[in-house]
Amino acid sequence: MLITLEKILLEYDPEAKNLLPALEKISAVFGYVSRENARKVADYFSLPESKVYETASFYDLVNIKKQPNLIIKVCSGTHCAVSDSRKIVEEIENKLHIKAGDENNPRVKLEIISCLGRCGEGPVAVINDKVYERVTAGGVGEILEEWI
Amino acid sequence: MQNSTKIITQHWNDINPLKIEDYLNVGGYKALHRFVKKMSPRQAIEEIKKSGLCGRGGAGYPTGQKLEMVGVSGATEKYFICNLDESEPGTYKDRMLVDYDPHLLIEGVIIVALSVGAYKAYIYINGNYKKQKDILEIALAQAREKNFWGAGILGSEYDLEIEIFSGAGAYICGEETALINSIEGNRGEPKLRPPYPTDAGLFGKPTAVNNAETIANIPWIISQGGEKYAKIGAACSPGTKLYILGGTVKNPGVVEAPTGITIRELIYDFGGGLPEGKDFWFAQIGGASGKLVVENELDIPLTFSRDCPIPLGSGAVLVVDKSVDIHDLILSWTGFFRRESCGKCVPCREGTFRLDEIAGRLKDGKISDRDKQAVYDILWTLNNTTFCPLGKFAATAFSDAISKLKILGD
Amino acid sequence: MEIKINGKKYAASEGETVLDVCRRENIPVPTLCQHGKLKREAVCRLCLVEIGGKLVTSCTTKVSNGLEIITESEKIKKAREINLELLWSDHAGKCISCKKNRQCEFQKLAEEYKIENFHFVPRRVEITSDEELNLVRDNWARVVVDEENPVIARTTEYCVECRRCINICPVKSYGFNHRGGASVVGTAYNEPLDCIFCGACVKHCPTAALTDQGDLENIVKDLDNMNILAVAVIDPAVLESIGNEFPGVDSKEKLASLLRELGFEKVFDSGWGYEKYVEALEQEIHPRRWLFQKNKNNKHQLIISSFCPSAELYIRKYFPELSGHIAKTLRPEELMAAAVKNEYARQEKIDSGNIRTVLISACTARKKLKSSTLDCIITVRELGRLVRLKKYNPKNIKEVQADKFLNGYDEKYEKMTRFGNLSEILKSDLAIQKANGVLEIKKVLEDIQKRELECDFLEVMVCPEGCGNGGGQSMKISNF
Repeated sequence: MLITLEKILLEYDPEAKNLLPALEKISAVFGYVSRENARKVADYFSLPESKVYETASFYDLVNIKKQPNLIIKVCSGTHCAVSDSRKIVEEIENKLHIKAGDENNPRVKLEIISCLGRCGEGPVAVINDKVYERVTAGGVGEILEEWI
Repeated sequence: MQNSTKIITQHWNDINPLKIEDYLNVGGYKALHRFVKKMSPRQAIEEIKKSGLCGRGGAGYPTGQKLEMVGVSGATEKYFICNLDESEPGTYKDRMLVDYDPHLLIEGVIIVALSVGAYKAYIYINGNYKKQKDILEIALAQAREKNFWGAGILGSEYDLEIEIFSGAGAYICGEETALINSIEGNRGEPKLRPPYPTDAGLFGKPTAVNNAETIANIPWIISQGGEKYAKIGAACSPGTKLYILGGTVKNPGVVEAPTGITIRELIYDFGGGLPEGKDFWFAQIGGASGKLVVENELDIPLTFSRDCPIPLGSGAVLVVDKSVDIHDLILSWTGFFRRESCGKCVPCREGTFRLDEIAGRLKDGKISDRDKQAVYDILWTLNNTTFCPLGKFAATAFSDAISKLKILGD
Repeated sequence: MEIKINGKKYAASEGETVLDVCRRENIPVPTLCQHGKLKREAVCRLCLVEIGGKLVTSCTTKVSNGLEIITESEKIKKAREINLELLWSDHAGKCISCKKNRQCEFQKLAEEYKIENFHFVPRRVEITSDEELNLVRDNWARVVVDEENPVIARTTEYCVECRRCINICPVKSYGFNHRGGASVVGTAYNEPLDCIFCGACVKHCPTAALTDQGDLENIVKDLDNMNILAVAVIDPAVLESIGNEFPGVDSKEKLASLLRELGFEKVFDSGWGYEKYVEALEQEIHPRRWLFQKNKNNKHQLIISSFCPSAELYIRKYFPELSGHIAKTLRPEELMAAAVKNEYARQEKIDSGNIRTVLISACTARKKLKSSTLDCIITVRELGRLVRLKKYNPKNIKEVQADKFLNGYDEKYEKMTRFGNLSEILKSDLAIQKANGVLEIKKVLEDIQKRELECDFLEVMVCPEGCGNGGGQSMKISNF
C-alpha cells in the first residue's frame, strides 16, 4: 500500500515534540524531506517553513535532498580511526572514483560519519542500511561488489 | 576484592533482556516496590544524595542535588529525561546496558521520575540505536503490563507516562539543553543558561536530565541504601563505572569497575594488556573529547572530581600503540568536531573548521609556521570563549597531542 | 545597586546586563549579534569582558551588587582579535567593491582591531576557475545568492551568522540552517525570498549580506545624461534617518540641495501626492460606506489602507479573504509619478520618455511599486551609497527650497507622511482603527474576522512605528 505524507502526519499530533520524529519518519519513508512535503509539515504543525527547514537541515538522520541510490558511510570515530578506517575511505574513493563528502554525484555518496557505538567491532562501514564490521582496506572490493 | 563489585552488570548474560520474568527472578523491580510502599520521594532523593552518586555522562554533577532541585520545585508540571543519546566516539556502554538489562534502566527511570514528581518521563535514545529502541519498547510494554508504570503504579497514587524519543543524529544533543531543544522540535543547539533546566527545562518546566548509566545505579541505591553505595570506589565520586576498553588491548569491551581505579589497572588487569609485539604509546580517556595519558601518568586514579587531572568523561579508554599513525587520530578528532559543532557561536563554528583544515595539512606534511600560530590561537579561543563546553572538548585532545606527543615539534 | 567597571563605580538596576550598563555609560564594548531589543543570542563572542579572571559575554551577564568588571585587558583583546579574525577569514573581504563599504559594522570592528594579517586561507572567495572551485568546495556550498526578488538582495558570502535578521523578521522568513562549518542563514530550501519585504532585515544586517536590490548604476547614468530630466520625489519620512548617512543634513531644504548637487534637475516634495491620495481615499470610503449603511444590520463597511505596500502584501498572503477590502486608490508616490509624466510633462513641454522619476523613500516594500511612471525607488541607504559613488562631500551644504509642483500642496500632510497619521487626517465621523507592526495587524485582522471588531477604516503599517522607523531608513552604527 502506498504511504502518503498525509498518512504519516496523521500518526502524530501537531505538537512541537512530534516535529522531529515526523521529519525523521518522512525522510526514512521517502528518502528525504522534499520542498513540498516540508511545506505540508509546516502547515500541519502551524510553523513557518523556515523553522521546519532549520530543524530538518540540522540532523544527520533527516535528509533534505534527494539521495543517491548508493550511500556508503564509513565511521571515523576514534576507535575506527586507529584501526585504519581512513585507508578504507581512500580505497573506496579510488575504486569508485569519487570523493568523500561530494554531495553532487547523483549515483553514489561516500560519507564520513561520527561514531555509531559499534566500536568493539570496528572499523565500521554502512552501505545503504547494511552494516559491515571489521572492514579492511583489502576487503573493500568484495563488499562493493555486492552493490555494483 | 573490592574490584569485583558489580552493580550495573551483575546480571548481564544471566538474564534474557526480552523477558521481564528473568529480571524479576533476580530481584528486579524490588527497589520500585520498596520506593512505592516504604519511601517518600523526599526520602528517595535523600538516599541518592547520601550515596554520593554523580552524573556518569561526563560532567560528574552530584545526581542527588540535581534531583532535589527539581523535586522541591512547586511546579505541577515537571519532566524527567533519561539521556541515552550516547554519541561520544568510542563509547557504547549505554547501548550495552539496554542490550543486556533494559529493565534495570527502566526501573531506575520510574523511581527517579516519581521521586522528582514528574508525571512524564522521556528516554532520549541515540537515533542510530534502532535495535535498542525496539528492546526498550518491548521492555516498557512488559513493565506497563505489570503496572510498574502508567496509572496508579502498584496500587499507589503514583502516575507516570514514559515515552521513548529517538534522536536524529547529532552529537551535541547529548548536552542537556540541546537535547531539550531537540525534543521541542528545534535545532539541537545548546541554550543559554541560566535558566537551568532544573528551573526551566523542557517546555519551560523544571526538568531533570540524567545519563542512562547514572539511572541504572538507582535501583541498587534504593534497595541497598545510599551509605553502602558511598563506600564503593573513590570517596570523592563513589560507585562503580562502566569503562569501555578499546584500541590496542587484548580484551576490548565494556567492564564495570569502581571509580578511583587507575588507568594501568584498566588496561593491564581488565584489558589484558597490549597484544604481543605492540608498544604502548598513549591512551585517550573519555572519547574524542578526552585527555591523553602517557606512560608516566598511568597510575593516576580516575574519578569525577574536579581535581582529578584526567577527567573520566564517558569512561572510554582508547589504547594507542606506537604503530598507529597519529595523524589519522587527529583527523578523527578534528573532523568529528567540525561535523558536530552546532554552528551557533563564532569560535566553535569557525575554529573547528580551521583546526580540521590545518590537521589535513599536518598529515600531508605541509604545515606552515602561520598554521602553527593559528593552531595555538584557535585552541585558546575554543578553551576560553565558546558558548557551550563543546568548544573546550574540541580543544582538549589536540592540546594534549601538542604538549605530550609534540606533534608540532618542541 | 552598584557595580564597578574598570575600577570605576556605576549605578545599575536589577535585570540589567553588563552590556546594558556599558552602553548607557558609553564604555565601548564591541558586538555583532546583539542589537537593540533583539533576542540576546550571544553567538558572536565579541562582547567578552572579564569577571573574576574569566571571560564572559557582557550581553547575557546580569549585574549583581558589587560585581567587578574589566572591559579592556590583554586577554579580552586576544579573544576579540582571534574571534574577529576567524570570522573575517570566513568573510568575502571585498570591501572596496562592497555595497556596504564604510557603512559596515564588521568592517569598522576589523579596522579597530587591526584585522588585516590573515592567519587563515579565506573560505569564501570569488570563484573563477574549476580548480579554485575544487579548492573551496566548502565555500561554494555555503554561498547562496538571491537576486530574484525585486526588493532585497541576499548573498551569504558576506553573512556573519549574527542572526539579527532571523530575530527581526516579522514573518519568520529566515532560519539558521545546517550544522557546524556548513551553517548558514537562509530561507527554507534556499528559495528566493517571498515575504512582505518590510526591509527590517536589511536595516539590521551588520554587513552586506542583505542589501537593497536596485539599479543605482542606471540612476548614475541617467543623472549624467543631459537628455534625461531626472526628477527626485522625496518621501519626507527619510528625514528621520538621513543624518545617519550624512551628519548635518537635517532638513528638507538641505536634502533638496543635496539631490540637486547629485544631478537631479527637479526635486519635489510628495505633499501634492498625499493631498490627492487623501482626496481619492475619501471618495472611495464615503460612497461605499453610505451604500452599505442603508442595510440596517451592517454598521460598517471596512476599507483597509493601502498606504503601506508591505501590509498589503501581508494581508494578501496571510488573510486573502480580506484582501477585497484593501483600498484601490493609488499611493501618493504613484499619483505623483503619474502626474510628473503626464500633466507636468505637458505643462513643461517635455517628452515623458525623457523623464526619470526617482522616489527617495524610507520604505523598502515600495520598490515593488516600480512602474512605467515610477521608474526607480531608492532607500535612504542607497541615497548614501549614491553620494559615496559620486564622491560628493555633503559637508557645508546650503539650503534650497524644493521645486513647486503643479498647484502646490497643503502643509498639514507633512505630519502624516513622517509618522503615518492618515487616520487623523481623514474625516472624523469614521470609525477608525490603527495597527502598527505585524503582531498588532495580525490581532486586529483576526478580531475583524471573528467579528469582534468593526470599523470603517483600518490603517495598517508593518514597520512598528510607521514610516519614520521604516525598513528603508539608515541605521546608526552603534558599536562605537
